[in-house]
Amino acid sequence: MKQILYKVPNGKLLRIFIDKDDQKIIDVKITGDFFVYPEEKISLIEDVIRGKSLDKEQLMKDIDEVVAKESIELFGVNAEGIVTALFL
Amino acid sequence: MALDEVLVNRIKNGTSLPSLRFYGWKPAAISIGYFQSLTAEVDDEKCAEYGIEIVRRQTGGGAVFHDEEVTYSIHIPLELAIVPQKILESYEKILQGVILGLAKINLEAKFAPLNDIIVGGQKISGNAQTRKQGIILQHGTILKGVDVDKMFDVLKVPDEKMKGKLISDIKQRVTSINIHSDSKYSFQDIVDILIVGFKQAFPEVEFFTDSLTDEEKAETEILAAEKYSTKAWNYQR
Repeated sequence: MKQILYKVPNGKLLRIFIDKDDQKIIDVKITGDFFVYPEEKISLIEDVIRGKSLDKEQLMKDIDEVVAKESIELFGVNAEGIVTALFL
Repeated sequence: MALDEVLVNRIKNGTSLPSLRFYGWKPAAISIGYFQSLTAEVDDEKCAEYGIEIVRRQTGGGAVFHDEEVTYSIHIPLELAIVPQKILESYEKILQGVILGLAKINLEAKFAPLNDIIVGGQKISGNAQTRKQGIILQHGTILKGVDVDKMFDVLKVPDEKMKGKLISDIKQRVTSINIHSDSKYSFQDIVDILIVGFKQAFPEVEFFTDSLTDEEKAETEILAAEKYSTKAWNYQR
């Protein structure tokens, strides 16, 4: 998997492992020194990214949606930071 | 790490009391944040050569090289309402214990959100929190001394070519009690001032000193063997 390093502005360091082709994200693993509460729900964020088209706005919307629906709290990272990193 | 999880479970089912505990690491060890990739952050082969153990925490945050420090863990049921529900505010409240403790040795420490304490603009304490089953678990380190060169020998850096600069940056950003004090404080000296600080931060709480029970120790050994020392847990990301 390709490794992407991205420092979220005013946040923590994201280290994303990603497999993608020209159209979509095949697999993703989001790692780094950020905080997600509850911790186990990071997999739900990865799930909404996996298999999706490379559409920045839609990805951002999908992440924001799952974060709101599942009452996930993010510190040092946000949907914009994750999506920005995915396209580096 | 296993003991923290055992205590959360036991506090939840009423078999242990909420606790504040202080500990050190022997041998030195690295803990990585829950979301970190072990192989990306740590040179595990070098750690094995040096006899440095590696463990994944239940909490987020960054990799920590535990050597010359005092580490604390605090377990507080949210229903006691002695700590704010909001995460950022609860960090600040709990870290008052550390800040007031450091004030006893004339260190002017300040909370630096989200999870640090700084002295003179430099980090002296890193902290991480999670909440499980309605119990806050927060743990953190208070640096007694710091050997940045040794730390970077076992932690991987994003860009090897920048390693020298990174080390000098970290040396400027991180400090320790020994750097700021003429007196040399022992582990126990620091624990003692932290106890005073936590008592002051939580005046409504009755603190008493206790030891781990045989049951707590036994459950911890089992959980350490079945979870925290396994590759499945430590290399999961």
